[in-house]
Amino acid sequence: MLLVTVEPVDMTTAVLRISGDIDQDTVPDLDHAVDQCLDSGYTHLVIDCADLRSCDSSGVTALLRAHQAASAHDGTIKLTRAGTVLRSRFQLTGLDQVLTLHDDAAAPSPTLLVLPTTSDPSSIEAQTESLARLTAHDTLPGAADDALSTAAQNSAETGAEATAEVIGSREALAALARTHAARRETRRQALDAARRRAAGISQD
Amino acid sequence: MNDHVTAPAGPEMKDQGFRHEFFPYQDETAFLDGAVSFIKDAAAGNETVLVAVGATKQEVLRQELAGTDAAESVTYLDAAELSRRPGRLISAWADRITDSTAKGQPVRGISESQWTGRTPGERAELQYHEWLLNRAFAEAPAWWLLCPYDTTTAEADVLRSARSNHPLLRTAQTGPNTDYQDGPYPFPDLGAPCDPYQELVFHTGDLARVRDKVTACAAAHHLEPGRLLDLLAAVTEAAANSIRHGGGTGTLRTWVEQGELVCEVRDTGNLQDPLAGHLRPRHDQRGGRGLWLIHQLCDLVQIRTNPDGTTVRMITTLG
Repeated sequence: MLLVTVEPVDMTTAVLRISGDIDQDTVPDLDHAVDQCLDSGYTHLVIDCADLRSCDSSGVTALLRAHQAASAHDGTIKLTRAGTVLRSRFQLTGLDQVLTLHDDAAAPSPTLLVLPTTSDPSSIEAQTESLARLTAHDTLPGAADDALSTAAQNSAETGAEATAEVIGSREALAALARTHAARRETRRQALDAARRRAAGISQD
Repeated sequence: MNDHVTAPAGPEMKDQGFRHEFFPYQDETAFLDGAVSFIKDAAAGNETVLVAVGATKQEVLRQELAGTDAAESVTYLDAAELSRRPGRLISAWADRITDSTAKGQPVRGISESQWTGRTPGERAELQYHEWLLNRAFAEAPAWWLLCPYDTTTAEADVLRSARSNHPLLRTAQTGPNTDYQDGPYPFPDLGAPCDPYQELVFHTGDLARVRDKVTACAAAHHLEPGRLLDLLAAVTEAAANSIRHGGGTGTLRTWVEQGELVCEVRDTGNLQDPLAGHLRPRHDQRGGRGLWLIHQLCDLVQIRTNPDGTTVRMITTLG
């Protein structure tokens, strides 16, 4: 049995917490969760393996498939908190040469954003700084401005929605994806504008 | 017959693909004469030399080569480990020759399998995998493996199989081995499961049940948790193969025989490629890792396939 929990982190990043066994029988659940995330604009996926008991060769193939699909969306797949046994399996199958295995004690990694669940101004500020670093390497004022508006928009969302957990339910996951997709499009346009400006600045 | 089998001996053969040579010897002097001249020829040709022999012979060879240029060319491998895991023999050699052959540098190896202490099952698989080397490296560039056998101590069946499994024979000089059997390989019968055994017929969606069954059986024999995880992974791969390639169903049988826990997965599929699972998968390849993992995770793997079906036995030493 496989349980997949999707936890959005920012507009393009989500953590997939996987618990149980990935095998030929359960691989479709992983595939589906990854596809839903990518289709919804979560292109940077952190796969938290802390509760993953085993991953067979079809699971390895699924993770490679996820890596290729994420790359096609200009995204990434990171594996975190894989135990010794899983790591050795990933090494035996060569997966470690394609996907980076992170040791992080907790996912998401420190470079990732954690959305505020309240409208606490200090946390909005912190998020804005992180977002600026992520999108424009924190030296680009234009990008930071856009990031600020995105962050403000984010924090206006209800905390519950922003950190919604969908446990093993494809329907609920799809609903979440739809909700987020609309918001994300708006944000993406703002971020794209920031990145374009940032690129323009760095070329000058 | 391949060109390289009938070609004459000598350094001019070094670019002619895989040469797999049976080297029977009667005493240490004969071993040293053959091995040292082989290594010195290789070193003179700037070839990489890999030597997997027992600890005593390794020491004798080191002393014999000490102070010569050839000593620098030799890398010594753990022959006991190579012999203990026959299912990993081909990939072990492949891993080691790939770097050199990719650079166009020929490789020579000396491999004396360690037959002492092998169980009958291990011995049969080791003999088969020595034969399978011919298939595995049929297309390989510039790779010459010399396999010494002590005719005064080796058991009769070991010598018989060695004669059948090597296309070339080194006596006074190297030449074709007229006893070589190109195939099909004459597998020994696996024998019936030891009574009593547990049985589970599985279908799509039953992989967790398969693992539960193996877990219960292993617990009854106090298999330690780390080794159980390896076994569960291997059996999962075999059962998944049955479901995918063996008609959507298979049969798991488990039993204990002579201190070994045997997990057998049987289905009606036919395994076409005898080399499947013997070479390290490319890191980006889709699929094709199941049998590889089985070989890497089990103490011993026995695979028999024919038009009626395929049997995979995964053996874990208890205690």
